[in-house]
This record gives sequence, structure tokens and C-alpha cells, in this order.
Amino acid sequence: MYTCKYYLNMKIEYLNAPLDLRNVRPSNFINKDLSRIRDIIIWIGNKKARLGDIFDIDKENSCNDLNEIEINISGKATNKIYYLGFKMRGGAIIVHGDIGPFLGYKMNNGVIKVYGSARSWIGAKMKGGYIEVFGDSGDFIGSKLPGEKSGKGMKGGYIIIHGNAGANVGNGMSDGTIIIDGDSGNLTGVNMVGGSILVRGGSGRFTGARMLGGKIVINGSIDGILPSFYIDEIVDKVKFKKEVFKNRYFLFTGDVLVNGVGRLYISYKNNVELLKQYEPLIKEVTL
Amino acid sequence: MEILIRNGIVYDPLNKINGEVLDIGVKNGRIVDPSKLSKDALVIDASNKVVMPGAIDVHSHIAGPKVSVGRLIMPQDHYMTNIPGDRVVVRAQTGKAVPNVFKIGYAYAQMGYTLVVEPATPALETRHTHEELNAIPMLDKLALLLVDSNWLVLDYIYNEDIERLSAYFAWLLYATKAYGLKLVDPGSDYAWIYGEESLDLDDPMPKYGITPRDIIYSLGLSANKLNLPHKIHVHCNRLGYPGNYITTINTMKLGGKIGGEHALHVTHTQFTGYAGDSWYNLRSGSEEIIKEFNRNRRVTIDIGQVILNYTAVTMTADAPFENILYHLTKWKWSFGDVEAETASGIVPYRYRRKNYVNTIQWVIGLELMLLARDVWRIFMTTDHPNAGPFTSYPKIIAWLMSRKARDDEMSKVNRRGLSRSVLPSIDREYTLYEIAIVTRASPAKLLGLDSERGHLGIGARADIAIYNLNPYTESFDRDYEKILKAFRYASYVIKDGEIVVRDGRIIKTVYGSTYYLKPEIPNDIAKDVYKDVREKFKKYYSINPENYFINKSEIRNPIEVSFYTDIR
Ligand SMILES: [Zn+2]
Repeated sequence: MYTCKYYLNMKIEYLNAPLDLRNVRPSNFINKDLSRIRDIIIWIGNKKARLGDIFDIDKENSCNDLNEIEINISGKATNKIYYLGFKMRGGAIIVHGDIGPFLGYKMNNGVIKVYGSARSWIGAKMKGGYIEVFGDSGDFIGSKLPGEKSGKGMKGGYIIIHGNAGANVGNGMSDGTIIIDGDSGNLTGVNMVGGSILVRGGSGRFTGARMLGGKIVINGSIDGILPSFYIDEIVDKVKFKKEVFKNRYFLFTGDVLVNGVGRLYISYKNNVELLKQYEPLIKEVTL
Repeated sequence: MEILIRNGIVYDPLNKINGEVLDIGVKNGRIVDPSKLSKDALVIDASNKVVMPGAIDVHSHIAGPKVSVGRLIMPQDHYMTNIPGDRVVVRAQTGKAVPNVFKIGYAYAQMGYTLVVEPATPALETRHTHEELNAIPMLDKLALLLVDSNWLVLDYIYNEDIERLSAYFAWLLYATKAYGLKLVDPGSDYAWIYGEESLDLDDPMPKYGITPRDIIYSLGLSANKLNLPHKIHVHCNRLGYPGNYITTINTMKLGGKIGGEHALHVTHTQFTGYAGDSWYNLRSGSEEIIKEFNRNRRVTIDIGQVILNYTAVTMTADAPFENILYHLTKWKWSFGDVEAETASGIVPYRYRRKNYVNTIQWVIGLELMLLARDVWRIFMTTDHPNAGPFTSYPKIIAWLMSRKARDDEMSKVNRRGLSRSVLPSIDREYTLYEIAIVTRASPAKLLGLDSERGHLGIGARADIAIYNLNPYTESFDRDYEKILKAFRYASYVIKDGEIVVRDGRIIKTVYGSTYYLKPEIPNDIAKDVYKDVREKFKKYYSINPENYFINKSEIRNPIEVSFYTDIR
């Protein structure tokens, strides 16, 4: 599928400033020979540089189709890379190593895979596409920028983190899907307007704070439920995209502070102590 | 440094030069006769290029406490907008809606602007304003004081003591190193303390019982008595309410009553030019306003052009209106109260193309500009950052100069809004000469600085902008992209005799001067008023007048404008 491959290997072992790769995306590589690709402008801290100054660049095959381009990035200091895949429209970027903040910022389409860990702001404000991180990730995954309205975060696409995630997962997201295989930090789904988040592990405090809509599923243990969430129902299974979890889940709705109607599913199995107190409440209502 | 600008196509309305090919000589920061230059003068070849005096912006909020809050309230404005200072001469720039001080200076310089007026500073916080003005590179600056809700001023007006009021202004302007008087929704900040929302021209104020009409009239008389170079700068009552064009017209009529040339300047008239009685049937009141404008030669107006599909940050001392705007947008609001003087509000607001009201707002600014008969009394502004950023000026110039540029924008806006306006039927296109009038010559006259600014005559300050345009070989009405490019990135900009911009790039960071007034009043009156001020400060303020006073040493490159008044 990706017939046309580029290999960007970092020449240097150490960087003490952010490496701004906002111009590195498949659409900027299309129909360009290697010498012009080496001339793509990047920033190292506040210094302007060319892509060829930092990377050895090789390529396999040529093609004119954006969706056949794959950019492979490897090296020792890849965790200093900022804004990789900014406004990406198609093709693929594969990172062999860790990656820095704002990966896939405002991304529209395409695939990004990271064989390593990622820092914060992955897929912030993304509109579509697919991001997969095989390691852990930092805060603000699929988030909006601070100061923006709820719903200005992720608007579509998939983000899958195979490790743990930090705080503020899906802050202000309005659509799309985030799946965390490990645990997530505090404030998961804060300011969420739509879309869905699945955390296979546990979650921190204030999950779903100021949530207006959307769906959060927590399979592991949770550090408390906000008092502004009301118990709605006890269900025996939850569907999340194509997966079905056949467990007992408590469904909460909220956040009532902002008149939200978000749905928060919490697994009974791992939160017996916490959820026990809600059991009589829902029984009273159903009786 | 000596510079010879050769064969430029010169537009200099104050000297009635309309597109003549001329040489201009620059020596020691002033314009001189080209024959007086030595042989080793630097030569700039300006053939096929337009040469104009440095432009002047009469209303742009570039410094002061509320601008700082505007930056804080918009953290998202600073993501990926940063331009690192890549060479030693250029400082780092950031921000879009409310840029940092460096970007303000550089972006203005790139467009050929050399003087900008900060139109609203609370007297008590003017020290901050000056600190921030000092930090803005490339520009000359001046600040106007907010005086309409000042308790001392209201006391004098209540006692109908114009003489003392004028003497107080003489002290206040010199104490705060400001250049003029600004009225924002006269009296409303005071009325708001007592829970009243917005005053119309003839609504009595609580406690005092005087009306905004009295305030404007008294301040107008006082400005005349003081012989201020720039008389009163008025943001009309009922700004932002449907049907407020009548208030605007009545305020303009008041200008005729006050008398004198440039008696009253009505600012961002677009915001006060709404006809209709609700947001649903809003229409443009520009025709009625322009009818009064054409008739009344005492008043000047600036437009406050809205830029569509843009998130602006509205910031004004019209605190009651910002409260209403906050309830419309339900997003963010910051409110500030300056003891005994004024208040302010800051609310981010997004103007949308498909929105009916926003389209009407966009239309009003251009209609005012295109219907005005006397271009010497109308100015191009965006009330930065209230209606749009100052970096959109090239866009406005393109809309004014090219019918096609307007048509292209009109094809994208709200249909219903457009169908209710006269803009589609206006064919007028501004010439470069008229553009030079509205951005250079007449602002210099309005500010009373036309002896040394806004023209290219011998002895004027060597603030010159050279644009890559040739009106004789190219036509812009079809290809307006050229206008956008030429006016956004000037070919050369010369500030005080030094080249600061070349081919749209900043090549040198210089710091301009700040103008302030020193009205000369008789000593005994000055002493008398200062005694009065001390007493009032004890009563109203938390600080002493001594701490209020800003020293000349706190201002970078001060220029004192000293003049005689009619106070005897
Ligand atoms: Zn203003």
C-alpha cells in the first residue's frame, strides 16, 4: 500500500532545543526530488535550518499519489520533534522511537504510528486520520488549546495509545475516538462535547468534569466520581465501536453543572467499594 | 545619514502632489531639497514605485492594561503564531488577535505606518500604558486619556465651571503625558456603578443629574479653550445597540454646536451606525450618518471596519456594553474598574461571514467610506483589535480601491444582510491619492501634527513608505492581489531618516518617540487647580497626586508639544 518510502535518519544524537517539523508531512514530499526535500525549512529552537541539516534522507520508489507516501523517521533525539504531521492530509508517518509534543496537530487524514512513547498534545484539534502510539503518552491527547471553547478539540479520527496516558485525555473533544490501553490520568474527558473515550485500565480523579456529551468507558478502577454525575442505570454490557464488553457497568450522566448529558460507564468489577453506595439509590428508583 | 529617493511616483496630498515623478532627499531625519545632498548619499531607485509619507493610524489599541488582559484572555492566540527573531536586529513576534509589542511595531512598519494613536488609557494606569508604548519598536506613539466618567470632571461639569475644568485638563494631560481627551460612551461607566445599563444622549446621570450631552458639550468647549491640537475623540453613547445611529447623528450635531475646526471626532462609527429596532431587523444606518457628515463640516469620523471570519478581542472602556456582549457570546469576559475614573471590559468575539448581523457590520464600514464626499474628514481603522486586526488594512485598501475585491468578498457573506444594504450598488473606487489622504494627510491634520508629519515637503520628518505599485502601467481594479501584497509588505520604509524595512523585511529595530502635551496656563490658576485636585484626591482616590504624576524620564524619546491656551 505504501509503495513510496522515505527514510529520515537523524544525524545527530542530542538536541537541546525543540525541533519544529511542522513542514514535514507527505503532502510536502510529493513530486519533489531529494534535493528539494532536503531544503524543506525546519526550526531548531529559534534558528532556521534545512531538513537535510538534521536528517540523512533516502527514498525507495517514486510516486505521485499522496496516499502511497510513507515517511519513516528514526534517530536518537526524535523526542525533541514538535508539530510532526501538522495539518497532514494523507499518507503515513512512522516514527521509530519516541516523539515530542503536538504530533498530528490539526491533522485531517492519514496515518501516524509511533513505535515508542509520545509527549503531550497528541492529535490536538485533529479532524480525521489515525494515530497509534505503542508506548505511553503525555497529557492533553486529542485536546483543545487552553482558552478555547468546549468542542474545539478533536473533531474526528482515531487515537490509540497502547501504554498509559497522562491527564486531560480528550479535553474539549467533539467527535472521534480515543482508546487508551493502559491507565489514564486525572480529568479524562474534561469539557467533552461528543465522541468517545475508552480506557481499558483505570482512570484518575474528576473524570468527565464539565462534560456536555459523548461517552466515556472506564474498564479499570476509578479514583472517585464527581458529585455532579448522577447514577442512571446498571447495564450488563457495553458496546464500544465494534467491541462488546460483557460485564456489569454503572452508567452515570453528567456533568449537571453545565447541563451536560454525557454518559460515563464504570466497570463494577474493579470499583465495588466505590459503586456499592450507588446501588441502593438506583434500586429505590427502579422499585 | 543621507538618502536620495529617485524617480518615485509621489502622492503627497498636503502638498497637492498627485502621482508626479519626483526625487526626494533625506538628511538628518528630515526631508530636504535633493540638490542639497552630498554626492555619497544612499540612492534608492523608486522608479515604478509609489512614494507616500509614513501612514498614521488614528485609533488602535496597542498598549495599556486592557491590551495586556486581552493577551492573557486569549492563550490560544499564541500557538504556532510565533516568529522567532531570526537575526540580531529583529525581536521575537507572537500573537494574531492581540500581538505582542514587537509584532505590533514590526507589522505596522512593514505596512508603512510610522505613527499610531493609543486611543484609550485610564489616567491612573497611564504609567503602564507608557511602559508598553516604550516597548513598541518602529513607531511614534501618542495616547488619549479617558475622561468622561472621571469624578473630578463630572464635578466641574456639574458646577458649570469650564475654566476650572480646562485648567484641570491642562494639569491632567501634562501629569499623565497624554495627548488628548477620549470619551467612551460618555457617563455610562459612572452610571453603571449605580446599576444603570447604558445612557442615551439626554438621559440624566444618577446623583449628578447631568446628561452625556452636557459632558460632550462641556469637554468640547474645554478642548477649544485649551486649543488642544486634537480636540475630543468620542465613542458615542448606545454603542452596539440597534437603532443607535440616531444617537450618533445627534452627537455629530453637537460637534457643530461646539464649533471650531475638527471640533469632534466620532470613532469606530460602524459600531454606532445601526438602524432598525432589533438584532433581527438590523440595517445599516450609514446613509443617514453620511448625510449628516456631508452637511456638518466640524466633525470627523473613523470607520472601525469589521473583518469577517476572524476572532477579534473586543476591549473598550464601555464596560456596560461589554457585559451585554458577554451575555451574547457566553464565553469569556474580563472586567476592570479604575477607581473614580473609568471602567473597562474585554470579551473575545468571532465575526462570521454567514451571520446576518456581522455582515451588516462589515457593510457599514465600507458604506461610510464609499459614500463620504469629503475624504479629508474620514479615516480608515479597524479599531484594532475590536473589529479586526490592523494587519487587515491592506484588505480594506483593496476593498476601497477595487470594486472586484468587494464583489469577491460580497459573494461569500450572508445574502439577507447584503440584500438590505446599498453597498452592492456603489461603484466608487478610491484612487491612490485618496488612499494617501485617508491614511496620511488627514490623520496628520486631525492630530494637529501636519506641520511635520503626513507630508513630504521640505522640513517634514523623514517618515516615508515606498510601495511596489505602478499606477501608470498596472491596473488594480481587476488584479487587487497586487494591492494586498504591496501595502502589506512595503518595498522600503524610512523612519526618521533611517531605512527600517526593505522588501517587506525588517532590517533594523528602531524606537520612535511619544508625543505629549504641555498646555501653558497662568501660574496662579495652575496652583489653584492643583490645590483643588489634592483635595479631591484625598476624597476620591487611594493615591496621592504626586504618585500619579508621570515623569518625563519615564518616557522613551519624549516630544513635548507646548502651546498657549485661552485660559487667562
Ligand atoms: Zn477603540
